[in-house]
Amino acid sequence: MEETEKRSYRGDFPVRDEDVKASFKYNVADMVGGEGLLRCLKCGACSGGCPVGAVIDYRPRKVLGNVLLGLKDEVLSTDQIWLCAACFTCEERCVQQVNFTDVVTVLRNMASKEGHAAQGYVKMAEMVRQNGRVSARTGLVDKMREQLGLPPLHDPDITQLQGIMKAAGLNEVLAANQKKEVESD
Amino acid sequence: MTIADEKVDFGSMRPAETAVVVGGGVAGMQAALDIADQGYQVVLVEKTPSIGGVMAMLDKTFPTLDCSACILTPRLSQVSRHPNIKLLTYSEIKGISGEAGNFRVQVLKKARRVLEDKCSGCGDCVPHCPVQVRNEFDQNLGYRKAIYIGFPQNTPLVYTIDKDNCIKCELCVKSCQRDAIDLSMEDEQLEIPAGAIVIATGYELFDVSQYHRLGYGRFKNVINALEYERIINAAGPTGGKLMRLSDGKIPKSIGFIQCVGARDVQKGVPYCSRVCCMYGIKNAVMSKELQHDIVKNVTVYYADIRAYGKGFEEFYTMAKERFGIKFIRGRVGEVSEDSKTKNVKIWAENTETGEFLKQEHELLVLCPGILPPKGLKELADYVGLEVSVDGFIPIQYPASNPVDTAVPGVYVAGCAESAKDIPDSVAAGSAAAMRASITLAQGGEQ
Repeated sequence: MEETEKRSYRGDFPVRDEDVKASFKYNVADMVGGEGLLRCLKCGACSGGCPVGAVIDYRPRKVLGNVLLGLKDEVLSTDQIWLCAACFTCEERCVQQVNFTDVVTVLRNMASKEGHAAQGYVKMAEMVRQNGRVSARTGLVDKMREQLGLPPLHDPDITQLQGIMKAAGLNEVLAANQKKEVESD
Repeated sequence: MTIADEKVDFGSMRPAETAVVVGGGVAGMQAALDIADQGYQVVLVEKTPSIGGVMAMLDKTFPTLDCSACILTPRLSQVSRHPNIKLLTYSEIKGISGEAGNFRVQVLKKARRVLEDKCSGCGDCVPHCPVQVRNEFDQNLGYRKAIYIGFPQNTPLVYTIDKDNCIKCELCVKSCQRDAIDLSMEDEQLEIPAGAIVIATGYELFDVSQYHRLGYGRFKNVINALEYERIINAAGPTGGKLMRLSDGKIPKSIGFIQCVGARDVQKGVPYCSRVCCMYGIKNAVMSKELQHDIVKNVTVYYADIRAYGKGFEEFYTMAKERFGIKFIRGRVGEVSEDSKTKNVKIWAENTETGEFLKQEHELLVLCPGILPPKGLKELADYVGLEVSVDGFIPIQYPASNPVDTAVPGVYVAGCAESAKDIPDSVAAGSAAAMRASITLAQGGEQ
């Protein structure tokens, strides 16, 4: 148990043969947005300019490094891929056009399907499924829009929206993540 | 001989015995000397007022730390005094026609407004000239007059009047005791018959201000490597005293950033420039050599150190172990300036430890990569060549004929083909000279 706690992407840890999924990087690279992954030189240009990395212990280069090493569980089940602020600074500066933000999106989708989505994102998705919006419509918002001269909001057609979400497989993804929530409780 | 000699009649030169070398850097000079030593005539065409190229600007060479000028200067005079070499400095190629064994090279000889056969390079005119402008040879850090030589070993030792800045006050004309100045001189069109052509146009540095985040052009204490080279050069604008530009202080801590404009697909330079690692290390070592007591912290931020040549790896190890230079693997993310001290702060990840670094340096040197020079594409067009995707001159069979272009009779040496260090450029110069003289000896047949 103590050993698993130590095993974080942040520090150095022994990589065991059984943890390495050699095909993982190819699975990621095959997805739309993941094409750039295999070009990574691990030069650290992404980490050097990362606004999240400047304040907490988060390194885009290490995420890429872990994916390239094949540490599938490490990448998908920890919080590392959920810390990216999607500011696209690394994407602009990457000398190899790895497109880190797109790679992270691919990884987040993979993690969500396995029930490892960060709870904030799960809550947000539930909100969208229920209301068709990321945040509830309140009287204050309506008032502000009126003051600013913006047209009033229309309520989306929830049944249609939910049909699209169902077809896209959101229900299964949410179910996988909620199940995990129950387990961890 | 070119200096103080009667006018050369280029039209009467025999193409079967003449080669044209384009570019008077270290590769072009070597090619010219090697062709000339075999008894052929060589016309060496150089764009700037002096031969010598970038090597003349450098302070030391890697990995031996030999003085660059001490190696180059004897070469310069050797070229200028060689009976078979005709120097055409301050001249540009404007067109090439014909084929191997019988090319016609059109050269525009720009008016330098000083008679090459009369000027002795005494410099009496200089104090009289009222116009002072930045010296391009010193990377615009120092100053020169409108009548100038870029550096003391200017070859040929003939002054040049820069047309754009001259105010035609004629004070130099009055001061010249040899009547060498002719302000009414016009550009001259020459046609040179030649049997073979060697392209040795060299390179230009990547414009590092394209990396806005690294602060070049925004912060005074962020300079590029060639500017640093001039600052530590004894003949440079500071007389060889290492100092920073904001306040003239000797920096206690210096950072070097490698791979600026090299191996960057986004910026259109996917290739490795080969020399930056070594000149970066050399510059780092030189700061310790020059100001050992003051310079305490020298850090090199690199992506990979490519010490591929003879003695290079040993030099890298020596820099680490004997000179205590710190090497941090990680591309620099952000550079900012302290508004009071004008020190430079950098953000980078040490990719070997995962540590996020926020370090302060008093001087930051960016080490730019190598680009094909402006005008190389036009020159390639003249001879009927197409430049390769990276913009350099392509070689048809690199493994068997490494200096032969696709056009018979046209050879390439030095950085016009790809990034090269000095020994490789000289070797390519010699190789191109040999190939060119074979073409001449066989009358254009190969």
